[in-house]
Amino acid sequence: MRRVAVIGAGMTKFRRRMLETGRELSFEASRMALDSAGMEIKDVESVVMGTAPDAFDGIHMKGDYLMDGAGGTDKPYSRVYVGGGTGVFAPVAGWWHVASGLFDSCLVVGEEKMSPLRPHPQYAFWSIFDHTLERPLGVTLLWIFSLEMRRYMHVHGVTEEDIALVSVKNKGNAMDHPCAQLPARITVDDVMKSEPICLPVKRLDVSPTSDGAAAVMLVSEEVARKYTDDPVWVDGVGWNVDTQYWTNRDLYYPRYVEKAARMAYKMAKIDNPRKQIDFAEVYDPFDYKELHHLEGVLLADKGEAPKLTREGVTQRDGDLPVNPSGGLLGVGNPIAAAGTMKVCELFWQLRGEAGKRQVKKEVNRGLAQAWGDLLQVGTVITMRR
Amino acid sequence: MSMPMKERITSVDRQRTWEGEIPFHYEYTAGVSGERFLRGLQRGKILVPKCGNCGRSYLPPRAYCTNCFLEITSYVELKPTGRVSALAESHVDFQGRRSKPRTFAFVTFAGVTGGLVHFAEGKGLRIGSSVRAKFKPAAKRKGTLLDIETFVKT
Ligand SMILES: [Zn+2]
Repeated sequence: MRRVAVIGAGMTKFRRRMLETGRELSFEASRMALDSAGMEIKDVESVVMGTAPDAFDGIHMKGDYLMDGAGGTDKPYSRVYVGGGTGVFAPVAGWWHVASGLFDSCLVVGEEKMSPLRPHPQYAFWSIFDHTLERPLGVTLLWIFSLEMRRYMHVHGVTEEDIALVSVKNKGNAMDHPCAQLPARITVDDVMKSEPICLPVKRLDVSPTSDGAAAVMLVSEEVARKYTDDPVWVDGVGWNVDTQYWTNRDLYYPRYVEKAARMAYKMAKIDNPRKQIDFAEVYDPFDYKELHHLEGVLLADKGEAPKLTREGVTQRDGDLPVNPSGGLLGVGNPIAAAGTMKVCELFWQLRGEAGKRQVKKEVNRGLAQAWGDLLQVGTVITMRR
Repeated sequence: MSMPMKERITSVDRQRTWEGEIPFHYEYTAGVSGERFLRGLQRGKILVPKCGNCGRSYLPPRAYCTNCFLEITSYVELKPTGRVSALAESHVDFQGRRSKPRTFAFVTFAGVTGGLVHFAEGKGLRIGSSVRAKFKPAAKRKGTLLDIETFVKT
């Protein structure tokens, strides 16, 4: 396998309802990534698009539709999809395009335009459930999240207030992100008093639905040296999918995320993640999910993540900054674009280009993780200077 | 379990089924470039984006040049006259039902990359025919593709 460098990143603003089409969003992010790398589209040998269900944009086979906005026309182009984990999986796919030696460059784009679906994007999930054994109950995706959050709280004795701290932190971090949709200074009390959605999940425990795109430029070592003295290296990738029966997993712990992380750690020769990873962008569509995933990627022991959060370890100036971007809770959650945004954040942080979001400690290695499908896919990437 | 289901079921009427639907409803935006194009139609004009770098114009409209991969911000007005590049006659609607025959054509415009698919009519219409956009009366236009009623042979 060849070394793969990230030499550019770009993203659009994340917003609730944009005039821009998915193609136009893809173009904006792609153009910014190219500009950041100092490349033109003619220099790009392959393109990977990551985008989640067609049902959001409302365009069937939207990978085809989005292609020219991502500069994929007349190139080896493909769409990859593993549900909500797609945003990190797409850079993983970009990595194997280059690591394999097939291509010297791969532009990776994550896109989602969730606003067209009415009355609410949540509707897209109705038909993922079993038509005879689940749908008759009128189940929504929130049912699973709520059961999962409660199970996690029960097993470890975690309180809703502990979990709310994540929302407070991430929305606060997003105050410094120029693309953020829901930056806010809020308190634990605000979260606790926000409207019930499906208890224990309340309004401020949840990320918003969004439109947006994000992109990264992946190249071989040889090409990287031509464009920059300061490449960031992808040193580990992993993914794993657990059973689709959510009744056949213990909801308190995402073991598929652990398996994905272990795959990446093996490749990156990481044997003590807590010491060898300086900061993390873990998937936080819900506040409890950040805790869940921190434990899944082995950056916290089981049940320890709430304590680290309480003690400020995961703050931007803490010992293990988590979601310094502001995460999905603060920056927004255009599904696949949100995952790719996390990979962009690793790039910006590792290059010292994160501006007001720059974490206080010196960082040499970061981890991004996304999650999705019917609660069972974990995708992980580690990057270093 | 070794026998495929299709061989075991002798009457499909004996199969129990559950009715369901995937009932999605959408409200789409036309996008930055699409909006500009449709507002043009509303004013009786065919406006196309023109790349400031390579000079290419595009239909359907787009916010970036697919050749240069650069943003396009300027638009030029086309003469509403184009040429039929291909045409066909539909007898079945998109749900497979018999419908009133309707001729539609792929119309290209001088100097423009791409073209428009729209209805077309006129005696002797064929590939190569010159056609002109027939707009609806101004009061009836809504800023949609159908502000052009049809293309008529000149
Ligand atoms: Zn051009």
